[in-house]
Amino acid sequence: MAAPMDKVADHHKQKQICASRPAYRQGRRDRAVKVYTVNQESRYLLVQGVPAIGVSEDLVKRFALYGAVQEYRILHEYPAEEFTQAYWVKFDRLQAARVAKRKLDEYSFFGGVLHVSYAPEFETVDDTREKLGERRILIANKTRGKDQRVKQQPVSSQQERPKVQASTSTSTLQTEPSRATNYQEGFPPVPSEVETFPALPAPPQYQWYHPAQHQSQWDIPKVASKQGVFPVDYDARLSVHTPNRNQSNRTNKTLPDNQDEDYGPLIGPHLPSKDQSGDSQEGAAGEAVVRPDLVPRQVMAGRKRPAPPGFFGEALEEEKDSKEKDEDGDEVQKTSCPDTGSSSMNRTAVIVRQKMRQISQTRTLSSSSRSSKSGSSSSSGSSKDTTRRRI
Amino acid sequence: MFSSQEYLEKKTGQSGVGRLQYLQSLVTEFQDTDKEDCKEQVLANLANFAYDPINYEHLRKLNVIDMFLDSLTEENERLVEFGIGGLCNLALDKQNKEHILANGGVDLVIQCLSSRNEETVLNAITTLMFLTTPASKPAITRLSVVECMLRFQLSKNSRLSNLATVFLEDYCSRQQVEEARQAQTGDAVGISLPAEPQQT
Repeated sequence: MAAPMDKVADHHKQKQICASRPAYRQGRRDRAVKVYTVNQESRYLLVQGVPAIGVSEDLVKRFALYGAVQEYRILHEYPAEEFTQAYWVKFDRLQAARVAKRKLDEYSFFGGVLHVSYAPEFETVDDTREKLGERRILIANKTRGKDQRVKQQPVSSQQERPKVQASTSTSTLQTEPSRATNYQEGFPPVPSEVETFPALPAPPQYQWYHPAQHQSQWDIPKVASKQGVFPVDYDARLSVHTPNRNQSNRTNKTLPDNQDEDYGPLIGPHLPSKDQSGDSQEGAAGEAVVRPDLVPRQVMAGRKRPAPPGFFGEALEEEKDSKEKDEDGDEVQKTSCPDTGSSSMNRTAVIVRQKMRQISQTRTLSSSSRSSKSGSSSSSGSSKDTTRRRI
Repeated sequence: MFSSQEYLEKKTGQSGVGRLQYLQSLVTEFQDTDKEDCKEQVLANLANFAYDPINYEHLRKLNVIDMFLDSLTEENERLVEFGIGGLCNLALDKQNKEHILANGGVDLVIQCLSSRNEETVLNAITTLMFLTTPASKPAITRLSVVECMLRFQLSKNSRLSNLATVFLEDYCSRQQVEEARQAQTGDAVGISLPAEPQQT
């Protein structure tokens, strides 16, 4: 093994940090003035300043983050400060030791500050030989490509090498303009559609949305859980006094995640009169709405498809037709505020389909991003925006 | 271990100082400054840059290799130490090697073998090993050097003895080693041993 530790070797001592560096070459960390070559580096590390409180395992685990530790031991005879110990750690690979040293030097560990240094004196002859051989191979690998490039262009090598390297800033004028042009060439052609931004769709009318945590332009009635079903007598089209709004917030969280947009109780005090009649919400102006926070599971699952015919009963079918006519006439309004006062799912589905059609027709970048987000629902982004702004 | 070009570009950012420019300012400072401290710091900085081959082009362009060679003859021991460290770091590259050999680097490095500074000697041995080419081998493995290595091999300093052993076993022929051994038992002429390494 190594020479006995009578005196602490120089390279184990921490040198003084250099404080007189001019700002332009002052690095991020304070460092001493020292040169590291392959001789200074080693797979063996000496760790001083480890608190003597039985933390061997933790220490080795921390070192092992950077590479396999082959062996480690505590150096009891090494002169150490009171209540600290010196450890000897052997790594499998030099590179791991380098990284570990860089990261763990001056590291605060269980109340002590580690001082990590290389310990090449612990190397055997073979270790040293191997270390030097590795360095040779590394350099050979790194410089092989460059040699070939240089050989191919011997004449103009001086001028071309900077170009080949493509460093960020070079002192030769030649490379800078060529890099500038390269950047310009490198940009993909801007599509003409993007440059002139098409008119955005009319902003949704904020008052349609409830400032609840989750938004939805659906007025799908919701159930308390995924396994919930509509009550027996419940007719989603009719406006029913919402029993509690508290539950709505909670149920929102239990909603299935397969939908992109959030749902929320849609209580729209200012709904247009198109909505179903007679429903009054607690003191909310205008229409009513429905919205019991119930959406049966079947509906959720089939949300992306139109409800199968007959799902809501024949009565609803008729209504659906009539509603469609209304909606066609009010398309703009509807699309901007799809959650009408009516709680009918059919209407919602129709609205959604219209929106999808509209979106697919517009074909702008902004709308395409939105359409990609929404399955069958649209303008969830706008609904999110409006949430905050709503009363 | 080494930086890649993308890493450098990322670190530099758009308005930062590039690697070549930074090295250039280091060299300029070294040439312009009078303060020994600054010279030492700059030389050490350059020597550390010499560890990474990505910088070799820049260093060659800025004649930093010559700077290292010149520093070997300085009086300041630290300058010698950093200079030989820099050479050790970049001696493995073919072009650098040719440049050093063409500028009489071998003799300068052999002179460093007699330094009192442990690191200097170690770096010098390694540099000699790295500079070995079929053409330079006779000069590097001349008798005095081999004798020196034999003495190093007997040193208590394991770093020194390990490097000497590797040198003798891998870079010298048996015959050369034998000759040197015989010469040594005779008279200890040639390079003196450095002081035992535990110095401040």
